[in-house]
Amino acid sequence: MHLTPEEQATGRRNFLRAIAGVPVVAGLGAAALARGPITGGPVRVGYIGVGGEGRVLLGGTDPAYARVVAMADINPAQLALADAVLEKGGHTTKAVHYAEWREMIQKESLEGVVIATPLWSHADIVVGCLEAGLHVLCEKMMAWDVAGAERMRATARRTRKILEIGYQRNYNAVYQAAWEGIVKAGVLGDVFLARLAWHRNGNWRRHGEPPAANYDPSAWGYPTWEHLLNWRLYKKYSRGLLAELASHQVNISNWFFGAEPEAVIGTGGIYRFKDGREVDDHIYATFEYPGGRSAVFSTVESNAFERNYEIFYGTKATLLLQGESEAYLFDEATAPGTPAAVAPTGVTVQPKGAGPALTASESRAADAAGRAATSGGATVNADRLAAYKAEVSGFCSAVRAGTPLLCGPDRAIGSAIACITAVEAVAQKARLPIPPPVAQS
Amino acid sequence: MASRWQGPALVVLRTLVGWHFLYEGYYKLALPGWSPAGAPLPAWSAAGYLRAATGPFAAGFHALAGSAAAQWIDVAIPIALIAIGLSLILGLFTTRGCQGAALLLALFYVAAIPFDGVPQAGVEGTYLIVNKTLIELAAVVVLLTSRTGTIAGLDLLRQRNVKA
Amino acid sequence: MPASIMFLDRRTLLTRGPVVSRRPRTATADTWLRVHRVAMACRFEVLLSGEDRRHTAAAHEALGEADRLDAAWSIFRDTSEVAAINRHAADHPVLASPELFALLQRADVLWRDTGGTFDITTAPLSRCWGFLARDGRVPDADAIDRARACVGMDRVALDADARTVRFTSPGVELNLGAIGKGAAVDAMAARLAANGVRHALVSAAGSSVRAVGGRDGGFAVDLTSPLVDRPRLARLRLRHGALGTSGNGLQHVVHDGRRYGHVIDPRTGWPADGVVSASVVAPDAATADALSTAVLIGGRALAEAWCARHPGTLVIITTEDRQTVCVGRSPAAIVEAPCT
Repeated sequence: MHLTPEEQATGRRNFLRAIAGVPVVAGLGAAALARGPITGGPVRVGYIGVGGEGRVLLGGTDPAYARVVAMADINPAQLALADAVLEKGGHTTKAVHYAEWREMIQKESLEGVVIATPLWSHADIVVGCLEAGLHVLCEKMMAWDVAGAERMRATARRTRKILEIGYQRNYNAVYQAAWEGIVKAGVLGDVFLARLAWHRNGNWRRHGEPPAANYDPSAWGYPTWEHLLNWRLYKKYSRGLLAELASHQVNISNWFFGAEPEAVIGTGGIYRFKDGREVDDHIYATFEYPGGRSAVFSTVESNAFERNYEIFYGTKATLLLQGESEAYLFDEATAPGTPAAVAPTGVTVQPKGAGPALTASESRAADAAGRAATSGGATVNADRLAAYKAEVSGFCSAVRAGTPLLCGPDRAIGSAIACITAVEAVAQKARLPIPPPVAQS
Repeated sequence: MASRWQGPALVVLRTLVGWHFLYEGYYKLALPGWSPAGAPLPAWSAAGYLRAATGPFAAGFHALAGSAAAQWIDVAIPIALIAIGLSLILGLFTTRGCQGAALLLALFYVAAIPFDGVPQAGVEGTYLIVNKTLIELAAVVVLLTSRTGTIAGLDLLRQRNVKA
Repeated sequence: MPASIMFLDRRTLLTRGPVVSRRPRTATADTWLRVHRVAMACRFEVLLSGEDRRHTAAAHEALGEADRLDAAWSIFRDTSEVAAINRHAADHPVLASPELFALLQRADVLWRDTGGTFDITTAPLSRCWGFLARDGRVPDADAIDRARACVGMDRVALDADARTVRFTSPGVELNLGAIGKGAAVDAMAARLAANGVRHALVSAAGSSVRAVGGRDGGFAVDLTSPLVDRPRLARLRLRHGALGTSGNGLQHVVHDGRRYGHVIDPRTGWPADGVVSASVVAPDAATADALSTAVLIGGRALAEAWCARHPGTLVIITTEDRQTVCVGRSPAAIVEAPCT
C-alpha cells in the first residue's frame, strides 16, 4: 500500500503516541526497585554457641527479622535451655539441634550465623562461615590473637559478606545520643582523660554439673568438663578480663576519641582468687591515645561499689555513662559570680510503646534522683538488653536491605588489638606500643 | 472550545492515576518484604480496612472481613489494582480500566466516608464528606467521559486495526 | 528492556546506580530520649524522639534556662530578684529586669481577665493555711482576714515607663508559683526553637507542658489525677501548643472530715473546691498554667466565659463527682478520649 510522506509522518507520530505509556511503566519499575519494598521473609539464621551470652542474643532476636533455623552447641544442656528462650521470644518454629557447626552450615540452607563461642574459636568459625557464603555476627572480642582478627577481616573483605562484631553498645540508644548529641556536639570541650571501670565483687569461677555423667568435650579441645565450664580462666581459650570486659569499654573510648590507642601501660595479677586459674583477677591498664589523651581502665573482683561505667572528663563538662543504661552530664564550674552549682542533666531512653509520651497531672515534686514522684506513662527505662535486640535486628537489616553496619571489622579490630597488647603489657608490668591494624588496600 | 492542551492534560491525568494504582497493587503483592531502611514489613491484608469500615455498608464490610472470601480479597485487590494501573498507563482498554478504577474507588470511599470535620489522629488533612478518594473518583469519571485512550495510548493501535 | 531491569540483583543496582544514601538503620527512631534535670524542686524534661538525638546538646542548654529562672524568681532564695522586690517594694519602687517585668504585666492582665481568680499575691494566704511550709492547717477567721488585707493584684503598681514595681500596702508578697514553671517552659521552648529543634516536648513536674512541633499529629499526652481512680482522665495529641494542669490532689489539709486543697481562692481566702483537676490548652505554657489555676478556682462557669472570649482555648475539667468535660477547642490539641 502506497502512503504519502504526510501519511507516513502521521503514522509515525501516532505510533509514538500509542506506545508513550511503555517508558512510563519502565520508569515506575526502576523507581519501585530502588525505593520500593525488598521482597523476602525473615532472614534464615543459625546460632553457633548458645551458652550464656548466646542465649542473650537469642532472646533479643525478633521473629519478624530472623528465623532461627538451627543451633549448634557442643553442650546439649545449653541447647535445651536455648529452646526455652526461643519459645519465650515468640518464635513459632523449632530450631534444629547440632553438635558440630560445620555439619549445621552444610545441611541447613542459612543466610547468616550468630557466633557466641569461647574466644579462641572465633577466628576459625567465622572464617569457615564466611567462606561458606554466610553473613556473620560474631560476639566480641574479635579473636584470641591479632593474626586471627586480621584473618577474619581479610576474609570478610574478600568474600564480600557482612561481618559484624558484637559490641552492642554501638546500638545502645543512650550511647548514640551521648555521641551525637553531646560528644560530637562539643558539649564536653576537650577531653584528656577517660575512666573505664568495671568492678565486681565475686568469683569469676563458675560451678555446674556436666550435661551427662560421661560427657566428654575433649574432641573439641577441652580436656575436661571443667575446662569447658570455666574456659574464661584458661589462657588457651581466653584473654581474661581485658577481653571480656575492657574490650567493650575500649571500643567506646575509641569511638568517642575518634582514634585508636598508641600504647598501653599495664599491671595486675591474681590477688584474691588464687585457685589455680591462669588469668588475672585484678587488672589496671592505661591506654594512651594520640593528642595526649588517656583512658584508664580498672577491673577488680573484690568490690562492686563502682559497678561499671565510662566517664569522659572534658574541659567544659563531664559525661558519665552508667551501667549501659543512663547518661549524666555535669557542667564544669564557670566564672565566679554565676549561680550555685546546678543539678546534673540526665539522659534516659525509653522504647516508644502504645502508651503516651508523657503523663500530665497537677504538679508532682521530684525526688532527689529527679524522677517523678508519681510514675505514669512509659517510665521504664530501656534496659541494656534493648541494645542486643537492636544489634541482631541491625544485622538482619544489613543482610536483607544492605543497611550500613554500626560495628564492622574495621571498627572492632582496634579494640581487639589494644586489649590483646594490654594482656602482654600486664604480664610484663610494662608499657608496650600498640601496633596499628594492617592497612587494607 | 477546548484548548489544544486539553488532550495532553487528560493523558497526563490518566497516567498519574494509573501510576498510583499500579504502584499500590505492586506494593501489596511485593509484601511480605523489607523497607529500604531495613524494617520488616508484614504481608498486606484487607482485613484491617474491612473491619474498620464505617458508613451505610459497614456491616457488609465487617462480615466480609471474617468470611472465607477474605483471603481471596487479599489477592484480588492487588491484582485488580495492577491490571487497572497498567490499563491506564498504557492506554489499553482504557474505558474498562476507568470503569474498574471508578468501582474500586467508590468502594474505598464508601467504606470510610469522613463525617468528622476535624483532624483525625494519624491521618493527614481535614475532610468533611469530600476527601482525596472522592476527588480521585471524580478524576476517573472525567477520564471516562473523554476517550483518552485514543488521544495517546495503545488503544490507538487497536482503533487503527479495527478501522483498517 | 523492562524485563532485564526487573531481574537485576537489587544490591548490584544500588552499587552501580545512583547512590541512595541512608542513615544507618537503628532502633532509636522507636525510642524516646528524656533529657532531664531537677530545678524549681521538680523535674524539668525535654523529650526528644530518638531520631532527633543530635539535639541533646540543645536540650541540655535549654535546661539551663530553668536554673536561671529558678535563681531569679524563687521566693525561697534570698538572692533572687523576686525576693528582693518582696523585701523592698512596699517602701519604694523597685526596678525589675525586662523579663520579670513582662511576666508581671502578663500576670496583671490575667488577673483582670479571670475576674481576680488568678492572683500572684496569694502568698500570705498560702502561708496562713500552712501550705508554704507544707504543713497544712485550718486557720481561724482573724488570721484569714489579716492575710486577705495583704492580698490582691490591685495592690501592686507596675510603672511601665520606669519598669518598676511598687506595693501600695505593707505585707504584700509576690509568688510566681502558679505561672513560673510555665514561663520557664516557654523560655526553654524558645531556646530549643532558636537552636533548630523542630520537634520536642518540654515539661515541668508534669503540670506545665509545651509542644514544639510534634510529629504524627502531635505528642500523645495522658491526663491523670491522683484523686481519680481511672487510668486517665483524657488523652490528647499536643502540637505547637501548651497544656497546663492544676489540681487539689496532692497537697491538702483535712479538718473535721473536710478536705481542703492547697489552691486558695483569693476572693474569699478559702481553698477552692468543686473542681478536682483543671487542664487548659493554650498557645503558651505561662497562660495555660495561670488559666488552669483560675479554672480550678472559678469552675466551669469561668472556663466557659473564657473560651467564649478567647476561641482557641481548650479546657478539660474534672469535677468532684469525677466527671470529665471539655469546654472549647484548640488547634494545638486533638482530644482522643474522652469528650471527643
